Amino acid sequence: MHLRQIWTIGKVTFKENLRKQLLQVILILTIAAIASTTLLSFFDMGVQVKILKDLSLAAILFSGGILAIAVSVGSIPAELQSRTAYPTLSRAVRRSDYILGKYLGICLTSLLCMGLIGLVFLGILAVYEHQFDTAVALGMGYVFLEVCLLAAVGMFFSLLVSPMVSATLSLFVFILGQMKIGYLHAAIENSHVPVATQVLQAVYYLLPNLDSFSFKDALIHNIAIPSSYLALVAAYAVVYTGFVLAVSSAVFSRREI
Amino acid sequence: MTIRARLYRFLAAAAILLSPCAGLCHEAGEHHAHHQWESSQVRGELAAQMLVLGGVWSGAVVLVRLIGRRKGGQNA
Repeated sequence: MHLRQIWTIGKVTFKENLRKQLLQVILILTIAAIASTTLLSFFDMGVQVKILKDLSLAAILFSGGILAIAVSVGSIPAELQSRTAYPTLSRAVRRSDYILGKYLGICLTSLLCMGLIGLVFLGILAVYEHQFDTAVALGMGYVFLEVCLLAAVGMFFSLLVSPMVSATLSLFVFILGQMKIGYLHAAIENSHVPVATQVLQAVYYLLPNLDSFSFKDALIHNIAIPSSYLALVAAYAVVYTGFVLAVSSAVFSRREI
Repeated sequence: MTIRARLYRFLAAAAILLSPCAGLCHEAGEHHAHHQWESSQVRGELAAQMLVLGGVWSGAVVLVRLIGRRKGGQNA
């Protein structure tokens, strides 16, 4: 692993991503959605803060997920198609370093966008609550971890299938991962067809547990979350993302270009 | 023994140990709760999935290494 090469590829990917119009549109729409919650002035202050937190956290998660999918599925296939990746890969750059660099660039892009959205959200919240809400900031950090995991999954799919199919598959992972514990678990318990149960179980154990990154209920109702659980979820994000990136590197190393 | 050889031995041991541990974690977490952070089912599943992924990756690394060594031996 060559950190300098990874960082250089990451920087170039980050700059490329910033030029994408989709990113700017998502950014403007999300900030507008968060800012529009201030118009609900006919509610009590407490209710208004709860609505602001609820809507804003949902908007940040949704926009972050869409952004991660949009950026990650097109990054490598576009470079291979336009042959701009060849000069990089023909030099002494390992395929795994290339994958890690691309992933770093995508994460930096997501960090910038979510950071800007988060600044607006936390600023509005600070005006209402007259203090900086560290719990919400921490919750947003976990949303960022979730987005990074989703970006790794999107990048993995983009190495196997076309960008359109990989975007659809990533979207499925995003949606099903959100309701894994609540819906899929119940679906397995209530399923009476053995084949369907086995398929559902396979999907259940392969899917990332994205639901565990969401602490919306705790943040809205000011409930404390045990630090052991936070550490477990962070470790889970690191392990799952690392595994997906390792498999992506292995797939890309064996691919003929 | 070189550091690399020690690492592969460690990974092989990890691959063997992690899968049963994952099963134990999953079995232990059967308690449902109102919030996900109170539920041992969620904690158990997270831990189990982490251990399975770690086990699979460790096993794959060791397997690739062994196949590479066998091929190297045949070529020699």
